[in-house]
Amino acid sequence: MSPSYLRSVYLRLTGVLMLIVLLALAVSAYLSHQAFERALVPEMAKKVASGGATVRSLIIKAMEQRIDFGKMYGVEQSFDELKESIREVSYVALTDMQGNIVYQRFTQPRGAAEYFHSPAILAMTPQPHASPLPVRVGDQFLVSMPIAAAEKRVGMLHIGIGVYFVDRMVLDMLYDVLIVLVVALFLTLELLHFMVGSKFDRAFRSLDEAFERGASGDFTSRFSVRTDAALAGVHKLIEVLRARVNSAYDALVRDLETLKRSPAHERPPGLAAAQKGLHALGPRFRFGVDDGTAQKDDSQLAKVRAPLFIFILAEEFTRPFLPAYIKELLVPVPWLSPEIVVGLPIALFMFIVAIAQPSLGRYCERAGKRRAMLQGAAIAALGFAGSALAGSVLDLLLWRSLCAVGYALVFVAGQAHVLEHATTSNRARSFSLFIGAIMVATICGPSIGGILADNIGRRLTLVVSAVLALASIATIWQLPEEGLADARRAAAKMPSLREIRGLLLNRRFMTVTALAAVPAKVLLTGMCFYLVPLYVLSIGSSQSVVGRILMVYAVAMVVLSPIAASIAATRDRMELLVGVGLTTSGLGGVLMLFGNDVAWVFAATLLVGVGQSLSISAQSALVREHCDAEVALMGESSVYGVYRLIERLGNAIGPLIASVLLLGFGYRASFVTIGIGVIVCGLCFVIATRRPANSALAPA
Amino acid sequence: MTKRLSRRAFLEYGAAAALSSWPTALALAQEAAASSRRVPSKPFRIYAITFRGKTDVEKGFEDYFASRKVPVQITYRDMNRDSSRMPRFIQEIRTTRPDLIYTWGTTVTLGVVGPFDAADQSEYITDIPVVFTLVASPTLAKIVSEKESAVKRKVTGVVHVAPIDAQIKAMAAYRPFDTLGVLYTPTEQNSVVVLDAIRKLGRTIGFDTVSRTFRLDANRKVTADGAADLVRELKDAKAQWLYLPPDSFLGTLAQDVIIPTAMEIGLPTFASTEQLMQAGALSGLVSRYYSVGQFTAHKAEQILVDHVPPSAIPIEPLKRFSYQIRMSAAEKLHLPPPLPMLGYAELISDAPVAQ
Repeated sequence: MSPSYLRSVYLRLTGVLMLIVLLALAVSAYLSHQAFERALVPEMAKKVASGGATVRSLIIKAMEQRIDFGKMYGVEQSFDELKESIREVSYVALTDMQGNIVYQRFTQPRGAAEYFHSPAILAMTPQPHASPLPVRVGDQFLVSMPIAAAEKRVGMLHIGIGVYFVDRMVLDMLYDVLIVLVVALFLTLELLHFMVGSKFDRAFRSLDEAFERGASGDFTSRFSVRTDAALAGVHKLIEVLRARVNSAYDALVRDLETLKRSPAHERPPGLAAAQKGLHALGPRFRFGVDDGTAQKDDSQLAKVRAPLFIFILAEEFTRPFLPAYIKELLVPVPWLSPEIVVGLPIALFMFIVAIAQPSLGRYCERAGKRRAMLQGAAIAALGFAGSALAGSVLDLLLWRSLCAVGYALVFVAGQAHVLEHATTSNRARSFSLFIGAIMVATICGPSIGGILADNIGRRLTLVVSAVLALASIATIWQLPEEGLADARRAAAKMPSLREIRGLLLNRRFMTVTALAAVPAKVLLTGMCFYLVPLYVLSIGSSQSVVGRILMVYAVAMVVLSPIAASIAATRDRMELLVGVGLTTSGLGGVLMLFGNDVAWVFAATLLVGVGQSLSISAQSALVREHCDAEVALMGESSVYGVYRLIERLGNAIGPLIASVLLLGFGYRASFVTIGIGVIVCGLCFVIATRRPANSALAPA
Repeated sequence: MTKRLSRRAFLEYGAAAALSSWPTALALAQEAAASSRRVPSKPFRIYAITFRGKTDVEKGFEDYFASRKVPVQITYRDMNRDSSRMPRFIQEIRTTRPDLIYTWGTTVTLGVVGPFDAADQSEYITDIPVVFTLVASPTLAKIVSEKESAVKRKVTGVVHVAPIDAQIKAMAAYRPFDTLGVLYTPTEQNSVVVLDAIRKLGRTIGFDTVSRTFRLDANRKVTADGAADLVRELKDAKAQWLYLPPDSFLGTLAQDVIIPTAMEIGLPTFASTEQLMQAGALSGLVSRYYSVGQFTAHKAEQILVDHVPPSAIPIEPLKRFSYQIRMSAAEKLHLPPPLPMLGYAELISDAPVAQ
């Protein structure tokens, strides 16, 4: 059975679910809009009235100080302050006793002047305690409040709210619902994969195998076939069939043996021919019982996906709110500005993950993957719990370091597990399983993390992360205890310092590493993990929005990476993809030049995601293409080890570069500067790879 | 030509500093009250020298000790603007050996502790801790060295003038301006430094500064002659505000000559001290005397009760200042305060207080 069968089932399932979800959303949007408008407009009016009361009290105070109503100063400034505290305010006006506008600010709704002169408004008596009712005028709801000093009315304050505020709120709610549904969809698919998929997969696979064996003449029966597995009935039938064939064969052998032992004269004439026939059966068919030890159990491979997914989800939760959380815990650090201190825990995390991986790789070869994963998850759980209770940025650094060690350990051990259980034929598929778990977690994690942080707070969200890390321990427990079998696999060879130096001086290697891999990572961590969360919060948006934005990045990666990987078939194409990818992602940063609201951040992050998905697989494949001599000399694992190490160090310097830029130039200029830097690297990369003839002559 | 100052930019900066008056000392008091303390039954003896009789500063000073239940016995002596009385006070201090000396203003403080670099220290008090109050710039007056660590000071105290940038921004929050007028005494080092700071600030945030100095007589002594003309000259030089620095000589003329002239020609005045505010200025970002007294007492308490050496107690202004507006002046000048300012400023409706 082909593996694409299950994928097509999933895809169809996804399509149907998406359709239902979208339909449900549309209906819910329609219904909730009306309900919202009914319930929200009076609430908004109350909010506006309490803000208006402040302005009104200032005007009354001015009246008490005998300042003329028409000669007040800085009234518009008060209106601006009102709008600053209540963003939905779209018009403010002050009218006199006759309903003439004396002061106004922002957009006047159509029909306002007539409304202010209407008898109902002019007759409104000063009742400071009554909450005024909003009245729809043009495209705004107007809240009108009489102003009276010493029981004498002097005029009226009118505050308008655009009717679209309800639309915006409904839309905002729908975004959250959509995110939750999309995440739920991915989670469901992920669960389906674990619970049913792997079972079906295994069942189909063994059925497949049974037929294949039958076709190739292997009729040996297996005791390992589980009766509770899916398709058990078919398996049983096959087994019965096999048993009949086997017993018929046994009977044949037995009969022939009996006949052989009987006196010669009693032997039937065709015995020799029958015996010859039996011998001929031997090479063509296999009968009897097979112990199955030689078989590699493919299902072990899939088992690592669940713990990896849960564990990485825990870390991804923190993405949208970590910088803001660090800011909350800021204490003065001598010689370091706050911007840089905020970048430190993120950079330290990435740094530890980068440099710890090689040594942790050796450790998990010694200690065993399951044990290493258990330890990693436990360390990270401790780190998350500590982060949740952190008192200042200084102890947070320690807790985040624990998270980093745990992350690196689980990552390395998970990777090693996949390697161990993969065969040469399914290696690519095994790795896509490994990467798949990570990618789904990067889609679901930031968005859920953001929503959680907004609703239950940052510390409690970190507690949830700790619980998830603990939960991953429970699933890691399900992994098989490894025997000493892994000892025969040679431990990954560590690149020597000389080899590292050789690669660092190698122009072709450094073209890919320094001009493509490192800038890509700097852009990812500097912009997406540092600047975006801080900037979005700084313009008054929420952590849920940050989560959504980061989700856009991950979705672009998931959707486009496989397509890009399939395009990257030749070296020329790979180089082109890397160049185009880098430039595209850099343009994401430059995009912030044109606007400063959330939509632009969305667009910028989407471009970064698109760009990186184009270049990511091509650029690591290019290492091999560019450095075949080195690969032949040092081995692929060494070359890639150094490549990954430098690439991950790019992860670590990203937040630091971004924080220094932020300190000097502010948010938008930082986005743009990083973007331009990446574009320049992309162009240099294209130029450097343009002349393959020359580069071949360059000294290695 | 400078660009017009944005009122908004000023407000963001100025309002933060200019918000209502004196919670600092009280907050400090409450915070300290929580800690366990060793208060002796015998009252501390404080020798207090004032410059021109008792003011609200002394009231705040006394009330702080009362609210903190720290027993003090304060002996008041008034210099009454007459420096010749100082040697007698020094003599009395030497015989009575109080636990702490309280000094009001720069002149009194210098009379007791002398300039830090004085060659002969014998005529000053060097062995009893001194807490000063209402000193605009203790470093310029040479009460303490600018290089703090160089000389182990025996004094600490409270500065009563708000940082100059906060004052300028508070002024612009009332009415934005392009040109600022400053009148000062050329022989008062403190005023010269303030003017320099204002000019420098003007260059960064964009306004012109015009200045006039009081005239000097044949003996190079500052004189009040022609002070009113100087105010008019500033107005003619297009000044939109008259800034009143913490200048002692200006202080003596403010109520009778300078502010009335400014009012007459429609030039708004901005005060740097509560004293100048009381002399009739339109507005000012000032330290309330009462709060200054409380904060001074807080520093005295640290020396007396907690035995903290004066050198370990910072010399500083209050954390918050009071934005005062004289409504009668605003009405007369037809310059009503900006509406938002009514929410946080202290509106003064009385006539100028006789000094």
